[in-house]
Amino acid sequence: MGRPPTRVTNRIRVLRFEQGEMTQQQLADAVGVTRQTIIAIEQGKYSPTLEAAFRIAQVFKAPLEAVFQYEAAE
Amino acid sequence: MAFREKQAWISMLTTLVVYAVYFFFFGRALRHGEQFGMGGPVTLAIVAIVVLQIVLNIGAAILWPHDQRGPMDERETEIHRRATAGSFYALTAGAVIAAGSVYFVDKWFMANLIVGALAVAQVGQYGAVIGGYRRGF
Repeated sequence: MGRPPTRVTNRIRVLRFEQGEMTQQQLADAVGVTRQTIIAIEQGKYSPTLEAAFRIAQVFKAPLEAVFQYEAAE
Repeated sequence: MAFREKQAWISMLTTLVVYAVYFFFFGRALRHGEQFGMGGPVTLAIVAIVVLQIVLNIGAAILWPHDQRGPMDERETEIHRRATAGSFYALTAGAVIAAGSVYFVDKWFMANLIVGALAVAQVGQYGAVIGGYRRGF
């Protein structure tokens, strides 16, 4: 049994689309991480640090909560 | 596949192959009642691992010139940190077993138990790194 998926969800895929189909590589370069890390974040496999989360939000010129959401436990 | 995952595959396979050969000869020496290890064979194994890894890493860099090779980002650092922490427990367990074996086996066998613990810990560490990259984290 693997680790339970993170409860942090995000709208990165949608925001990339709204930015004229920004590629994962372009976002990765802007944030300063690898493309694989962007893929892992998008798929909800990895929760970024607060600093990386702010950098991602900054790239999209959006507030943090417009990019990341937290699903509280039942 | 990320370049660091390729590096982990290279490290794991070279470590696995070299120590498999080493312990094959150790088993053979054991059957013949000979002493084996430390000095020559261990040094040779370490040199073989280093040389193989250098050659294969250069080969990988030539084969995949466009792979990203910057400093590790936060997810990669965390993957490596977890793998290292896990391998530490494996190494500690191996060292405790080796220390306990002092009452049952000679110093050559004990020394090879430590070498075995190192090999298992290293292979486990590289395996955990690969697993981390495969899963995404």
